[in-house]
Amino acid sequence: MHHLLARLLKKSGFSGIDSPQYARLIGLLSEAFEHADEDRWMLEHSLNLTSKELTENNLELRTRLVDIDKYQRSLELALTRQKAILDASPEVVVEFNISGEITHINQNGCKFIGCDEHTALALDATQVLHTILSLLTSPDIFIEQIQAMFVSKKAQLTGNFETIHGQFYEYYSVPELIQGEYIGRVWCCRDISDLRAQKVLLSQQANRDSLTGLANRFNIIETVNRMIKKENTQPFALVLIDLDDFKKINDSLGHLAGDDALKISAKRLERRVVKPDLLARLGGDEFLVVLTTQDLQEIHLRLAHILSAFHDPIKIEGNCYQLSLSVGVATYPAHGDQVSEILGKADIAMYQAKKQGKNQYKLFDAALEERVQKAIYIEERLRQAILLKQFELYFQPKIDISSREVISLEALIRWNVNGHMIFPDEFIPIAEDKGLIGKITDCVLEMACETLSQWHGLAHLKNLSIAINISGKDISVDNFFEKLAGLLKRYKFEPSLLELELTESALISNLANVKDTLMHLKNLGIKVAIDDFGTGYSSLAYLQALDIHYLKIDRQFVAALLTEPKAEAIVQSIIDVGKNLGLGLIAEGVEQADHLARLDAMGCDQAQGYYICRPLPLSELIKFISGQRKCT
Amino acid sequence: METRQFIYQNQQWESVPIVDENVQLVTVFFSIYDRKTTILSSLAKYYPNAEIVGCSSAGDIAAAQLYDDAIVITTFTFSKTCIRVFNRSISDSSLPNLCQKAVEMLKEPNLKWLMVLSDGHVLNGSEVAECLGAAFGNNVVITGGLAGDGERFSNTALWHMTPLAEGSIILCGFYSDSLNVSYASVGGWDSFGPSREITRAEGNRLYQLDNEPVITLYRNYLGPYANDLPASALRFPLQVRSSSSNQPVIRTILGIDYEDNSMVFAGDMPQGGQAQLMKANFDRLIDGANRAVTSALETPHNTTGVALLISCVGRKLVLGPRVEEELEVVFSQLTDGFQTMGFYSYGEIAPIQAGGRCLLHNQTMTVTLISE
Repeated sequence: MHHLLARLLKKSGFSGIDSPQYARLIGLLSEAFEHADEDRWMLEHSLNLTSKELTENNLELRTRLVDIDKYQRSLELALTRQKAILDASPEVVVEFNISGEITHINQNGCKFIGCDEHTALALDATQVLHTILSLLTSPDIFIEQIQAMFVSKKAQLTGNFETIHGQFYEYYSVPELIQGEYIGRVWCCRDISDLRAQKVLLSQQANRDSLTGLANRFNIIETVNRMIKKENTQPFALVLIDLDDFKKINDSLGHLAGDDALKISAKRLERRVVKPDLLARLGGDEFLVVLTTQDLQEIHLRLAHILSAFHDPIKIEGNCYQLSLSVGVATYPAHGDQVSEILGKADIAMYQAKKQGKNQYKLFDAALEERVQKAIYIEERLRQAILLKQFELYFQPKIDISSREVISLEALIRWNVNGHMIFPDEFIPIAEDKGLIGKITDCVLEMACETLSQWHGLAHLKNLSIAINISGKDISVDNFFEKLAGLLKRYKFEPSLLELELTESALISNLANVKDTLMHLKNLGIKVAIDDFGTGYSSLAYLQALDIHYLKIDRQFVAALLTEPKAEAIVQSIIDVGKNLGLGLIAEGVEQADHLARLDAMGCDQAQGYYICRPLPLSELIKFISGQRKCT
Repeated sequence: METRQFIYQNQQWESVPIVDENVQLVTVFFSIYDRKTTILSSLAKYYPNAEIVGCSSAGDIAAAQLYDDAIVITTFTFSKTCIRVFNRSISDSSLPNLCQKAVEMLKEPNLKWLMVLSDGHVLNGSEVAECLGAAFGNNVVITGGLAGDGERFSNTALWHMTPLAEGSIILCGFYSDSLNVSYASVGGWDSFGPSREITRAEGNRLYQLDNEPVITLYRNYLGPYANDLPASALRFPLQVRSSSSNQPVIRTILGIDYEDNSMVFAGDMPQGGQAQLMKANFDRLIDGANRAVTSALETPHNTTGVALLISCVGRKLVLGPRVEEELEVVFSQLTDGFQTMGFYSYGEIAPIQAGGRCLLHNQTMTVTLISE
């Protein structure tokens, strides 16, 4: 029985506890008491547990609250910093929510819109759009540019706009997404007004020639490129104009005067070049005119008009100068479909014009180009050959006519290109033209000196002299004699065995210096011969004045010796003059036994020519000399 | 409508049924453990023209009294109402197919009430209610309950003329133009303590709340009564709210699977949803029963009729010796002409409000009133 029930029954003095009559009632009461206890226990127990659980949860929530508080503070700090950074930014930064209202705006944004932050945030979407569009010079274009944003909220935008206040802005707009969900959009607008102005200036500077104000090389080449790329391009002509002898103005009056001359020239050209023809300064004293025609007659007419600008002399620093022009013309598409190619051909034509006496114009022609191309090719190969010493000396013996004995050799250069020998008449003119002749002469001199020094100890060769052809340009080089002295020092041999053959023209063009030159050579012990005598000036005066050793009678007289009495007379005269002046006489181009006999009879000292021996490489020469000496 | 009630207890009828060929329907709720009793089979002899339907229970109700280890039969003789009964086991077809078959057989324009008795052990009560609701729509009133098995929670039994296979459902259709039907379902339980997340659940099987095994939670709360699990867990049903719905439902425990540490509930446990323990005291439960009958009585009824009371076994466990108080409070509201019948179940089925879709409830007193 439930203890409370038992106590209550006892306390109440109930006497029927053990009576069967009340047993069922007391049993039910006891069960009810116990059930109530059980229920109460369950309630208390669950309340205790719940309380404990809730206390734990509460504690956890408090801890989280502290954390959240901390995060919130750091978030506020970060937001404050972010706002400060955005405010410090020179860019306009505006954030919009999904409805198109402003949610954040920096100070420059407020300035841009023209109101304070509070007002900006209070604007509805329509007002914001209206305010911004009213600031733009072309709101329609702007709306078109940002159309992508209306098609897809996630579109990223970039572009430019101009404000009614004359400022240019570059804008970027990106969507704000949280896990792919669109929540708004940020716009950044950068004032690029200064940048744009600078770009325009730079573009002008990049495209104009600063001295003359004309289009510059870059600009005109771009323009011509565009013309070529355009569909249905009309034919045109590139006219390359070079001021003749401009260097003289620069050298004599200075660069400022030179600049004035260029400016005046540019002005004169500018007045004569009529649109759509174009004019540019390529640099230096070179101008380019683009004529929008390829009709030769038309080109001739327009060029005549342009060139007539220089009929009158120009006046610089009080002096009058008559400028002349060398002009080369090449046309599109006849002469190429690339600017560089056409310009190159105009250049070739221009040089041709200059070469042919200046103040004229030349139209490019293919044969001319071929020559130029070959010259360019040879020039390149020559430069290589000089570096690699691809030259070889051939020797043509000269004999003493009376004894028929070889006493001297003329060294002749051959260019050995992979075993193929190229003769000097093919490359020497180009070498002279391109300023390479000095280096080739150096090679020849060195090889000759080396050969003489090698022969120095050989009994059958040691008295052979070697003659070398020297041009007027060679001897006018300042350090020619130092180099020569250096070679004599380096290679041991008798200096009188080295002979230099100079043409009459080489001597005459440098007559003032020639005396000194010959003096120097004499001092070094080197002998001098006048080559091809009789073909040039043949002035007896310089024979008297100059210190030389031999006269070489030109081959044309020798060739005609037996057939033309006049030639014979000339040869005889030369021999007589030479003898009288105490000079040795050498006949060139002896090709027959009769020539030799005749020259012998005429009193000539030495002879050379195919009849005696053709030019031979060193190895064959040695065999020839050995054979000849055995015979004799 | 004429009804009579007979009670078999202590291996004898309190008053022996007499042969009546006019009886159309006999309901039989049996709390006796011996299911092979020949008593049920013998009923057909007394009522040769009647549909005899019923189920095992956790206590049978007659008038304001609870009968344990008994059989309570109620006979129905209608003047203007016809009866059609359908039964099928899910071992024959899927639940939706089963419901569809029932619709084909039972649905008529004058179908007023569908009394549902369902297996309370194998079937998931939530699914049964949902499928029936979906199949029949909201125009047919569907109320009833899941069969019980005392406080044993091992197996339940259904009867339609003969014993039915495990996993069966009985649907008893009432066809009439003049049948009044009203119903109400009220619990009287209060949620308490923290709300917990259902972190692991599959169907009606609950594994974890707030990442802790749910069995541990129940053991803590039950203290020494944990030894009486799973029955003692009926004291603390769960109020469950799925993440997609604001409408809370009460879920009571049906069993424990110690192999995988799960508890089986009489309805779905939505993973990701929230669960909160519930408790009740006697007065709140009794008041709940009172509110249920009061609500059902708001619909006008004739003076004679039947009250089908289906109450949850959990209430019986909590109320203990006072369990009949909830029957008395219901009984006292009804007129003398009303016959009271019913049983303590493993789950109650009824719409939450008039015209609504039927749902599975737990821990409620579900009252259905019919009169002609």
